[in-house]
Amino acid sequence: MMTQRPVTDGSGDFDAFFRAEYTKLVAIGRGVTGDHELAADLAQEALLRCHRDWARVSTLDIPGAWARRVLMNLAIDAHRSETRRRRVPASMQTIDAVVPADPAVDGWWSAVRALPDRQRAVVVLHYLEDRSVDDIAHVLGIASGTVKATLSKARATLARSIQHDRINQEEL
Amino acid sequence: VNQHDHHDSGTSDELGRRAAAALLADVERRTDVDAALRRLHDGSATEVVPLASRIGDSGRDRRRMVWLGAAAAAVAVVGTVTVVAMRDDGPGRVVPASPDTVDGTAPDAPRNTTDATTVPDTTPTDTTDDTTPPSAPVTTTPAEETDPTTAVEPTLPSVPATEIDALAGLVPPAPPATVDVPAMLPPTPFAGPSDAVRRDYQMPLDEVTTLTQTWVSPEGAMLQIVSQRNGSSSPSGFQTADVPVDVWPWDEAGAVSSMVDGYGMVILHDPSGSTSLWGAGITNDELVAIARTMSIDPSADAWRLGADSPGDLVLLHEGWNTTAFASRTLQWEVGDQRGELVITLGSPDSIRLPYQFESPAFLDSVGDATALVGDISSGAAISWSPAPDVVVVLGISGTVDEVVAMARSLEFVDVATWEAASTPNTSTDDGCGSYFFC
Repeated sequence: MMTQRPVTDGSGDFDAFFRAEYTKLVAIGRGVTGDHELAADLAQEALLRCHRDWARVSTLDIPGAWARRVLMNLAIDAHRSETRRRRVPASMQTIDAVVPADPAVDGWWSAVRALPDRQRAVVVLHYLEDRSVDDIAHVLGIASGTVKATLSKARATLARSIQHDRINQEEL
Repeated sequence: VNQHDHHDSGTSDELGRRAAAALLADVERRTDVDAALRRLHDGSATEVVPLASRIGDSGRDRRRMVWLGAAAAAVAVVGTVTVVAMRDDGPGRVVPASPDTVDGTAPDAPRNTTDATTVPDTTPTDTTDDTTPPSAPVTTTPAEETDPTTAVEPTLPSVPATEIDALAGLVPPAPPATVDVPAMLPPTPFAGPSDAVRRDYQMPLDEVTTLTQTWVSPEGAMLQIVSQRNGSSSPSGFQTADVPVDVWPWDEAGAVSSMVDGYGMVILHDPSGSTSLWGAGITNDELVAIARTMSIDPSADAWRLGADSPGDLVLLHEGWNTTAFASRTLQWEVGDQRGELVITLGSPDSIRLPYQFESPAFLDSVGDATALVGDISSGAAISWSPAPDVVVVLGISGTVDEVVAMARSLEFVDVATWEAASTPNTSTDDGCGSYFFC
């Protein structure tokens, strides 16, 4: 059950829902894929599906959670497909620089993109939306315990990656 | 987790929050919500036109990739396997290593073992007692090629395709439980329980349920067929497949034309779900030819390739991937020698060991099963499927020959023997603790 930062109460019309959610969904998609244009397309597609099924989606307790799950599935699929096509590790792929003057920030996002699918999804929802474990579990449709374990693994991996990058920087 | 790690976690956490804020700010700066909403309303009236055509300034390959990514939903990632070669001579044959390479030294403790060519029945049970020994062994023949005399060919050509559910024969199983994972031990890699730790793990059921089957050829080609029933979280995305093709009895089929050189993808669609054929070293025309020979073997509840299927493809592994899985892991360390054995039930993606290989992987065999073996960063590793839905990955800080020999020496044991041979892992650090496979 979501207890934190409900994204919408489901009572508004679709346009209001779209305006409330679009930017957040683009951010989530970009966090997963590293590509702003692709993320915009994914957000558009997720919301288009909401629109097509709005009669049902609008009756959900939290339609935003449904949209996020659709978006996350699309984003992970797209990321997988891109990775397979490029045949290079996700961490080495070209991504949209978030803050060109802050390589640490882009390094962190590159490390996120190198995480396994589920870990990446959990990390993006945790950091970008400051969601609780229960919220993330609701959005992704998995158990809270799984989210907790996954987030712990991801954070440990990210910490190691950041440490590794820092050591490399110092050696340079 | 030591203090240094805690410090790094904190630093990473701070950096993560800063990175998230920076990304959000950049997205807000670059996003025009009103324009996006207008595009949606303008495009949503044209239901049959793919997204790439509906969105204003589309046309780039990357936009098309949105749909292609969705189309690939059911296809597990196997991308880096580009070279799979025979260890020995003889195209089309999988040549076992000499049996005299197996270490036949007697184990230190009495064991209840079974012959490695027979495997426990891994059919999930509702047993909850983890000390219960596995079911009685049954003889199996994994990695068996299609027998054309038993393959089920389409028999109702006069019936319209729309009335035939091509996926009807595939029924997802119940999620696996740790108790159903067979236990295996090598004879003498370590002295006793104090030298080895074990960890049992069970991932809960998730939404996506796919049947994943992987074939390889001695020439280096790889085919993966992934079938997905309705109710899964990923759409088929079929409608963006670039070249429609005719594959009876599927309602729709398409070949994706924008794959990079050396790769192909064909997507088959029926109202009850979709099946994707992904090939490395296999053209789309060949994938279509393969698709036309596919039929479900009721006894295996899985696809089989017809006798006239192109290529010398050998089934490497097949199993239902519910994203739920259960596993048994054993790690040992004696001096500077390390070993790790992972036995997984219900996660066919775990056969993707080739991701770890640093040099071309080879085809070899363990019992009747085809195996992938090769060098990894700190030793050698091998992966094979000794039974349906079961994948075994073994890594050691040794050579390819040594890991093959150890793989062939593994013996199925009961749970009591498995537990007596090692110490439970009591670490609370749930980061990746693998010696080789993080």
